[in-house]
Amino acid sequence: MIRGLYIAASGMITRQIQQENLSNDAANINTPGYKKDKIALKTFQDVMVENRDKIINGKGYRNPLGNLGMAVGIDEVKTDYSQGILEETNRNLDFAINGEGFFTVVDGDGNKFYTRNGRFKIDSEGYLTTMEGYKVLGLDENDNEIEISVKDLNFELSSDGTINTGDNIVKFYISNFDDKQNLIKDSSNNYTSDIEPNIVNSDVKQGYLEKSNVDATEIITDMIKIMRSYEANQKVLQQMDETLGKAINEVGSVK
Amino acid sequence: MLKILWNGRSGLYSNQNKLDIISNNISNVDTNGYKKNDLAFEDIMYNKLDRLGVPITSSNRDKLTQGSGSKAETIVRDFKQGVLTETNKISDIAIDGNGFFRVKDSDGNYYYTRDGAFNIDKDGNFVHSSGYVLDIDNYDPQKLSEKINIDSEGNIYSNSDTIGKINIYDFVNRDELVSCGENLFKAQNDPEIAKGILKQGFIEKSNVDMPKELTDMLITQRAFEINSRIVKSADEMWQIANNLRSK
Repeated sequence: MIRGLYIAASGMITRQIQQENLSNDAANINTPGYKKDKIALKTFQDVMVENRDKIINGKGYRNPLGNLGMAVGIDEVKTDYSQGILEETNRNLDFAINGEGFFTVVDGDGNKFYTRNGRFKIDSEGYLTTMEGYKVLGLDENDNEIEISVKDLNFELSSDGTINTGDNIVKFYISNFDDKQNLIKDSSNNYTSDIEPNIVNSDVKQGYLEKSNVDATEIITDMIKIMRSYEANQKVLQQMDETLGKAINEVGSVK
Repeated sequence: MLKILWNGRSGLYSNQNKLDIISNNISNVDTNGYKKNDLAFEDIMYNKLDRLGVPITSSNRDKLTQGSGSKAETIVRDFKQGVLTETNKISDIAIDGNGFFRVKDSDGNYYYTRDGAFNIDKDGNFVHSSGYVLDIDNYDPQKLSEKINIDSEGNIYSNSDTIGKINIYDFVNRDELVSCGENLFKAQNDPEIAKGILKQGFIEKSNVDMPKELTDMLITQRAFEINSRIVKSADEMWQIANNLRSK
C-alpha cells in the first residue's frame, strides 16, 4: 500500500517534469533555430512478486504472482532536430541552414559551439559574431578554418555558398554529427559536443532565419494530456490514502 | 511547479518585449529614415534534471537536462534602404546606399542620422529636425544663395561656387549604434567615409513593412497567449497538488 503511494507520486513528479519541459518549448516558440525536447519515460525495472502463502504440510512454499512495475522514471531527454520553417527577414546578417548541420562558432577561449540560429552581427573589430559575441567560423579556399571578418557591410552570400569578404573567399563552417543525441544544449541557442564534427556542405540562405520547430497545437494538446495524467495520478494517490485510512480506522475498530 | 511558472513568465516577458518593438516600428512607419527593429530571441541556461526527488531510470544521468525559458533583450536593427520619395525641397537630401549624415550639437558631440529633412536657418546652416547642425566640410554659409545644388557626391554648389561638401559616414558594426531619439544614433567607434549617393530634393521614408509588422504582431500575440496558458496550467497543477489530501 505504502509502496503504491510512492508509485503514484512518481507519476505526478514525472508529469511535472514533462510539463516543465513543455513550458520551456513554449517559451522558445519564437527563438530562431530552437529544437524542441521530448522526455521519454520508462518504468523502473519490473520486480517479481511472490508470496509464501502456499502451505503444504505446514511449510510455506514460494508462490510467484507475476511481474510488477515499480513506478515510472525519466529515461531520456531527446531533442527533435527536425527542420524548422525558413522565414524571410531580408536582414543581410540573418542566415538559415536548409538541411543538415550547424553553424560553428567559437568563444574567446577557443571553445567551439554549434548553433542553428543564424542571427549574426558584426562586432567592433569587423568579425561576424553571434549575438553574445562568439565569432562565426568559416573555411577559406584551402579549407582552413578562419574567423569571418567582413570589410563591406553589404556582403552577399553567392549562390555557391561563398562570401567575398574583401580579403578571402569564405564559406560557412557547417558541422554535422552522426549521432546528434550526443549534443548538449547550452544557453543562447548553442550546443556543445565532445565529439569532433564532420564538415558538410549545406544550403545556407542569406536574409532568412530558421524558426523554432515548436508547434503550438502540439503544445496545447500535450499540455492538456499531461495535466489530465497528473490529475489521474493524484486521484490514485488519494484513493490509496483513503484505502489506507479505511484499513487503519475501520478494520481494526472495536465497537 | 515553480519552474513551470518561471518558464511561462520568461516566455511572456520575451514576447511582450517583442510586442513593444513591433508597436514602436508601427508607430514610426512615417518617420523619415527610420530603420526597423527586431529582437534576437535566445534560450537560457539548461540545468541537470538529476535533482532530489526526481525519479530517473536513465543510466546516463548527466545527459538529462532541462531548459529555463527564453530571453529577448538584444535589439537587432534592419538597415535596409527605405523608399526615396521626391519632395522637390532644395534642403531635403536622401542617401541612396550606405551611410549616415553627421550632425553636431552645440557641445560638439556627433550624432548620425538617415533623416535628410533639413531646414536652412538664418545663418545658412543645414539644421536637422532635432535642432542639431549638419556637419559639412569646408562650409562657407556666407556664399549661400537662393539657388543651391548638391551633387551625388555631396558637393554643394551655389552660383557655380563650391561652398562645401557633405560627407556621409558609415560603420562596420552598425549593430552597436545606439538609438537616442529624434532619429539620431550615437556611435561608439569612429566612422569611415561611406560611398552612398546623395539625392537632393528627396527624402528616405522608413523601411517598416506594415503587413509584415501586423503578421508578426499576430504571431507574437499567439506566442504570448500560449505562455499564459502555460502559467495557467501550472496554477491548476499546483491546485491539484494542494488538494492531495482534501477531506
